[in-house]
Amino acid sequence: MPFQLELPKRLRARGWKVKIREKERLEPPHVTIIFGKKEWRVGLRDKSFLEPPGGRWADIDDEVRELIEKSWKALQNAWDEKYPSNPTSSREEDNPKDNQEDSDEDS
Amino acid sequence: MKTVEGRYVILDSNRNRFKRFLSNTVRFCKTQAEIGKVYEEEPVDLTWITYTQKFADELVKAVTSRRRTQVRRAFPRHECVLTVASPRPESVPTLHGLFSHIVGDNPGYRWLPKDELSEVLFDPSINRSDFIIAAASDPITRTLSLVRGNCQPLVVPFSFFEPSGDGTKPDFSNVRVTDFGRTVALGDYESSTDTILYETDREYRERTLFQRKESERTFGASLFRLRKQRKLKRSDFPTLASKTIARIERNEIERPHCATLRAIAKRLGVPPEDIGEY
Repeated sequence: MPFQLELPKRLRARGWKVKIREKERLEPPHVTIIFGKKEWRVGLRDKSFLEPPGGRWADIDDEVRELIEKSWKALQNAWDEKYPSNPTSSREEDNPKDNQEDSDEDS
Repeated sequence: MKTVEGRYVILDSNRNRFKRFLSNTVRFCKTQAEIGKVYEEEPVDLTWITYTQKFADELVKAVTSRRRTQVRRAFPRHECVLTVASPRPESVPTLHGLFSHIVGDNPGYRWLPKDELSEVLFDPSINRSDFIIAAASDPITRTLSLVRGNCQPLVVPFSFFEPSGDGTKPDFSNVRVTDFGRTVALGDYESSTDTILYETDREYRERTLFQRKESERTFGASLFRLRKQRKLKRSDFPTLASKTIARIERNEIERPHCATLRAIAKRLGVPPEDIGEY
């Protein structure tokens, strides 16, 4: 079952959903915010907008944003549980330019 | 296959239900006479949408009666018929004879809820091909047949949907399309449409790559993402040192040797020239 952030009824009625599904693009870890036909993916390592490019927190309902921020750790945990091969904590994996010469961070 | 974009004809008895979607490119018919008029007036490349068996029959009747008077017109026309309620089995061969592309001619298809389907099909501001509007599951061939918002089919093997880390497994006997076509649900298991398209459609991947920041568009960054998608460690490339993979991912090796690329591609299960698309 997908991890779905609990939102107040009025936000759900307007079409807001915040989800981590069982099958997502793996890298980078992210949470998906859905509002009707619109969808945003926000990185769970750095809170950056992955999709759409140029996406902004200003596009998201303030209350949804606050709930996401409050639940950040729970969202990260939910991702880690669903995708243990690519946890949010593996920061050295976040940037391929990372200057760690011979580390196999997965091991 | 010719795909159909942008011009729709809704066949239904309730105009009010679709009123807000009607425009120059979305028309509405509820009688055979109206269907026949649109059929004669409009150029080819229409998408006809029927929500009940009755209107699939009305479409067949209207078109066959026009066919008698338009002997020079080629059949089947390059048009799509979206049958949201699957048509009577007896009418399916006729539909295939009259139109080039029939979607949903099998009761196994599960569609987006009607309101969400209309939102996706009739919104000119979105790229409809980025949405899934219907899905059907075949347990014998172990494949999932998906229909994109531009009526293009997409077939994905069951094996694509591996269990998630928390043990949730897909239930292919319970397929649904939800979230306005952004999610394909298999029982309790949900897959994003994005990841299905990203893994199966080169054009979608290229578009995604183009939208990335410049620093993320390097070959090394693509290899990193693809390796992660395949759940492989750097040490999982038998003929190559982990260090070599790490250096390529950090773009410290600008042009890997052909043999190295072939070894990487083989392990990732893609052609060498495709690695850079991910």
